[in-house]
Amino acid sequence: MSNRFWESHIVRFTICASLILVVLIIPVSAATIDISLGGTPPTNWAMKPGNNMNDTVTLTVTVSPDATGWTVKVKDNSNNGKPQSYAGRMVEWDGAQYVSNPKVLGSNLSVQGGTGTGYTGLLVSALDNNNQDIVTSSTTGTFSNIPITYRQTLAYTDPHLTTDHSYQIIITYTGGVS
Amino acid sequence: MKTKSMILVGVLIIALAAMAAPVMAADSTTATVAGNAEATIDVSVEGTLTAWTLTPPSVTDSTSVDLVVKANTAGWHVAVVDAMGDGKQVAAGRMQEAVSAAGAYVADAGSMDAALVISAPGGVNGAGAAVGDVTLSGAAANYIVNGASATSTYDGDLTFTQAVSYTGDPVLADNHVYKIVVTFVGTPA
Repeated sequence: MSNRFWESHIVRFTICASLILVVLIIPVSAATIDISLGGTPPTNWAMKPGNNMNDTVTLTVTVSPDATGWTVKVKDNSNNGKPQSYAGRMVEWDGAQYVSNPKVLGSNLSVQGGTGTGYTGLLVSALDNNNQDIVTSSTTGTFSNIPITYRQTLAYTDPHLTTDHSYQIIITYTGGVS
Repeated sequence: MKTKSMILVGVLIIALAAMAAPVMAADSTTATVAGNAEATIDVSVEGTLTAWTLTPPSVTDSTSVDLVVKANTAGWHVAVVDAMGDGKQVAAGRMQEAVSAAGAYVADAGSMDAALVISAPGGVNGAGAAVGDVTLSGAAANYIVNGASATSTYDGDLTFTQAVSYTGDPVLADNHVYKIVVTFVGTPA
């Protein structure tokens, strides 16, 4: 058979396969997720030696019906010039920036998502620079006021800061669909 | 030419499909958590001194009671004070007759002539600086240990010294004892 014959068949096959791929794949990518935080963030958290807990923050997740599930993860992305070696731990902040030679809490922050109808909360016992799941679900819709609990252990070797400094950490929440 | 154009269109469609495939919906937000460690001090006393034989002219005990201080601030203090609790009547700092170590003070009873002296030498961790001998009284700021640096700790045996007089400190009848309750007050900074 001639080359022209084979070329013609290859072209037809390629076009058909491409159309099938487009039809099958494009709708999957259309699923969307929107996440937002509510409540009162602990920006003036008075902590004591021992175990400290804060549960004043909530999470709201909205997922389009064409998804099959979703997950929210947390990590410490070392924002605002925070040294990456301190990922997961609260670091001395002077109100405008992290100080040089900062005081750093000895224990990592813990983050826990609550469990409710349609979703399951998970415990991140030690926040770090890797994404870790805190809430997962295999359903879609809007899930409001998902409880978020922060826990921070302090020792007497974690000093009280003076001159209006504080310990700070920025947590990055990322939602994804499946 | 027509064939090449069709092949090009096919490849382009595959490329578009390939571009569409890896797109996954995601959304991100951030939360700031900030706070401070409250200025805190923890004072504890381990052991008791409840069967002390008071022999003239003076007795000292430096092994029965241990003072432990933990703080997360610089400039902390621990004071000793006679808070005059449980109906104690005689002058602050002096031991008063009681029916037993755990029992009540005897009303209108006698007391030791001299006040109890306390010191906290040589903290194990070194960061807490001992003040020296402190004569117990009702004063609130009678410091026995001071912490110079943040997060310093103290762990050391207390020394109690009691002057005993032949004439002013008689032997008590009915198995009564001389008693005093010492209060340790920590101030973080």
